[in-house]
Amino acid sequence: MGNYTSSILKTSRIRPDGIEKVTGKLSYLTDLQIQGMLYGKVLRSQYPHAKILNISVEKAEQLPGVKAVITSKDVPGLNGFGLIFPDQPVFCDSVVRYVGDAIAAVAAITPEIAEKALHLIEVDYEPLPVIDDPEKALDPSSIPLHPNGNLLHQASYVNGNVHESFPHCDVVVEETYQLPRQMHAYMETEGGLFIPEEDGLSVYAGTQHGYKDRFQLSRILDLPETEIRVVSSPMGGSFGGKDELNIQPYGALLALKTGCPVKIHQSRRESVCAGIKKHPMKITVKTGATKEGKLLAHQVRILADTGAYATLGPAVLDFAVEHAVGPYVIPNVETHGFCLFTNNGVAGEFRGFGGNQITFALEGQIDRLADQLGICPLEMRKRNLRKPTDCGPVGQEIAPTNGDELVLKEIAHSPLLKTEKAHKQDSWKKVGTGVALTMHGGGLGFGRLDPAGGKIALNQDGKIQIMFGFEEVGQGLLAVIETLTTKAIGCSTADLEIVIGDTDKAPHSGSSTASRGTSMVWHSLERLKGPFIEKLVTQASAISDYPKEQLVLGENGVWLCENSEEKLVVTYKQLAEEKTVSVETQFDFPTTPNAIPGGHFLYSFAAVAVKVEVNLVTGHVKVIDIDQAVAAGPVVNPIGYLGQIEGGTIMALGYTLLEEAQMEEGRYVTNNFDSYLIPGIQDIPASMHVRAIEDLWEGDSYGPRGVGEIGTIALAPAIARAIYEATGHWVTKLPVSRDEILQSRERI
Amino acid sequence: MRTLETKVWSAKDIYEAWEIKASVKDSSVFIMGGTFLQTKWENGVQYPDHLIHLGEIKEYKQIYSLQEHQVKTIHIGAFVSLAECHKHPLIQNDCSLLADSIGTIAAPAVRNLGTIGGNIANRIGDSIPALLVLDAEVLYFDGNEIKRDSLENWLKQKEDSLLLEIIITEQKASVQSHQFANKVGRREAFTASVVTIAGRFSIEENGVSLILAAGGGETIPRRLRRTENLVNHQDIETIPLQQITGELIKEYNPIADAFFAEDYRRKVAANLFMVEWEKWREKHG
Repeated sequence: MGNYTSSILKTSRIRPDGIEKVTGKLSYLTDLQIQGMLYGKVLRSQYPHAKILNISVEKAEQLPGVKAVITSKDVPGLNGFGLIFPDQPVFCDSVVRYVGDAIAAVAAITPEIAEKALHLIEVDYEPLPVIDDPEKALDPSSIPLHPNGNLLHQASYVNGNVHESFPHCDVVVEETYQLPRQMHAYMETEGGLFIPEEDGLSVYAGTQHGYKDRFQLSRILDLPETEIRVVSSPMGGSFGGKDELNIQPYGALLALKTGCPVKIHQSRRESVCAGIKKHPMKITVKTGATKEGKLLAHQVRILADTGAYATLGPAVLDFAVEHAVGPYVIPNVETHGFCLFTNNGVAGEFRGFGGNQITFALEGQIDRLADQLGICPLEMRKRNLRKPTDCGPVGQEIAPTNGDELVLKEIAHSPLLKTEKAHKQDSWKKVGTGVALTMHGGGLGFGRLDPAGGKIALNQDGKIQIMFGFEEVGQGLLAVIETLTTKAIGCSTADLEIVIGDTDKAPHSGSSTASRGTSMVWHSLERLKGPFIEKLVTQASAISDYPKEQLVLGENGVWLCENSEEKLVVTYKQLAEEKTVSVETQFDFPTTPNAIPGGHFLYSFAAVAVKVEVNLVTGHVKVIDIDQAVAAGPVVNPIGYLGQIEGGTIMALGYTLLEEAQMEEGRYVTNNFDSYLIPGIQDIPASMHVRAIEDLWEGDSYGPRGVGEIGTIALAPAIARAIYEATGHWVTKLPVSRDEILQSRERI
Repeated sequence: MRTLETKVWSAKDIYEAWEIKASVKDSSVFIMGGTFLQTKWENGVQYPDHLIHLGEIKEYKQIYSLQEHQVKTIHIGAFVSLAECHKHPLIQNDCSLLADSIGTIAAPAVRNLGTIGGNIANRIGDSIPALLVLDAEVLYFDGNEIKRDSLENWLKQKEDSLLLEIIITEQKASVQSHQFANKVGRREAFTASVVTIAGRFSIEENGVSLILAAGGGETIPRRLRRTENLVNHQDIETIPLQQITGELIKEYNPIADAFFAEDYRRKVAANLFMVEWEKWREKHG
């Protein structure tokens, strides 16, 4: 496999926000300061589950410097939020269900006074039994955490008959996989500035969907949406963690109550306590195959711990159920998923969206079957791969694709798979390699509001403004917009002004989630470019008398292109002096026509090859080389693409080997980055190669797919397989336990 | 605007520092780099009302060597930063075991601020096992006088004292020696220790000599003397390695946390010992 990086350097553009970010000059929304602003703090619950008997705020209110103390009584609208169901109270007043539940909030002239005031708020609790395990939550004798019980959501997919098929299998593997609660670990913790305005409220706070925040805040504040402006970009990372409301209700309520600007910025500890995490899942799988290696039956039970509130829990479970068979054809499938409320921290949206968990289980099964049948793992996958025009994993119609076949073929050439297994220097180190494959749906899926759109305009200053409601969360969106717009329109970067993440200035584009940003920018421009160019060349033709067929948009204005002659006919500035122009588009993300909740239509694919070194002295697993093949359509900005895949891979490395937001009886054990460890530079392999496969199936008109998530999915099962090759031990629980590795050696 | 409610004092010498501490009624703490204290405060330990900064006391911010009774001793001021200590020629050349240990502490930014004294005074610092193997002594002030004692004894003390200097006596050259200091953390770098084990094998006139110390996590490092005694003065060819690692496992008494149990830590300590033993045997036949 060649080094993809070298070719990238020639073609990549420097991202517009790159220099400011790496030099630390960029002002994030949590860096904003304004004269006379107050500092907000939120009082969180002392218990993971308790009745609230009384809340007394008088002492806090009397503390000099305190300007407001608010509780549920101060919420003028709906005392609840949630992207699907608004079941999470803005302020709890009768019961708390997790340690991040808010009870009160304070605005004061300094953060220290606000903090002190929190300690003066008296809350009488009556502790209740803690449900800290989804199995416990399923038990009918458990206390119901919500009016409808502890089962938030159930999703199933059944095809054929697994029970009749298992007896016909030559080999059956049954295993339970346990996946941890990963934290997004974004650089910038949740926060922002909230400014009361004459006609409403301005919210400067990071999110992945400004318009959705505006909608949710409007319900809480009982203010028309038009009176709320949400500026939501740029952000120091999100990875799904800031899609749901976090501090926005408190900042907004305090600002409106005090009539002063209020800043809230959570400490890391507060962020850990209140913030959402990736769903821990326990997945039990029974899979059978014939001796020729053909998969015959696959039975899956998923238990997802969604914590105290719904947020996107149901959608994450739907995604996991959908991807339970991945890119394989299995005639008999039975998948049942259960998403349970517990008193653990709230789980919700996270890069990978349930795909990481289910793929670890699926690929683990394929590897175990291949091992038992004595078939090469790559060959085992190949024998069961879907055909390009086959249905999707839950029998739905999807855009035809052979991405899975292409990435599998490519990864088979990875030189790391041919490396020497014995360690050259140390006899107590063992080397192993592994491969895994995944497919990942983009967009929100069938039955979910998934609008997209954008706007392009020639403004009064002669600038071409391209506007999207998306947010820059570190994914490189500005570079994508710049690349695609200059290519589609023909103008230069100097002619362009990008407007994003501001509900007063940018149109609805949907959320910056689900690997949809790049794809939706491309789709928007496909719709915008024709009418916009037509309007400008028509106008230029009228001014210059050249036929519009001979005019094109270029640097600084409209150019004449006739035979070999090229000349600037009229500048954008001159055009704008005559008339400003704008074109807007609204459409929905392409989805399958079949009525399957959350069912996807567009998929991307990745295959990963990994080499690990297992230290038999300590049980430590070190990843030393990673090759990755990705099929996600044409690459828009190569260095951004590489950044997404490599960044996602490193996040997956942390998920596999290090990261777990541990909880004991509903309380976090890992409260900060000294105990919750993410990979450092020395934990990352020096060698990582990414091969982008840009081919699309003939006639595919859907353009580039996003790559925000695909790099995070397949690494974990590939590492598990590599550990098996090195040690003979199958890992079933992440993060990999060193103790377990040592114990397995003792058994041998 | 942030307001700091803690009073920061700066002492010109250790006597003044001690007096300030005695005179303030509220909670107080001596501070240099503050890197370890910061982690404690972040984890909910009450921020003190008074911080007594020792950075102006130049006397203990230097590294130098002396000849004491015809033997070279290296003196490291307690207020010397870990980074400075790590790169100092006396430490690099004469105490490479200590230099190696310091190189594994936290991250460069922390080593620039944190001091060798702070790393020892917190009693669980990563440099301690290596210093125990080097038979380090310490100079400390107990409020009345400046005293000198072995680091091993000082670690057992319960009374408050102010650490001033670490003194390492140059080891006499011995044949076939092999020393090591291994730290196993939860990740490759910038991580607290799970197990730290340091040791020195050599062949003396009366047989094998072993000095061994282990710590890690919240475990206060200490010499493993029972394990040492099983090895010392034995003939290298007849040393029962399994019995020794068995003793090490019994003698090393690590404290578990949410991430690693005692058993794992014991196993790793024994494995590390065995690897170093093999390395020594390979090196010297």
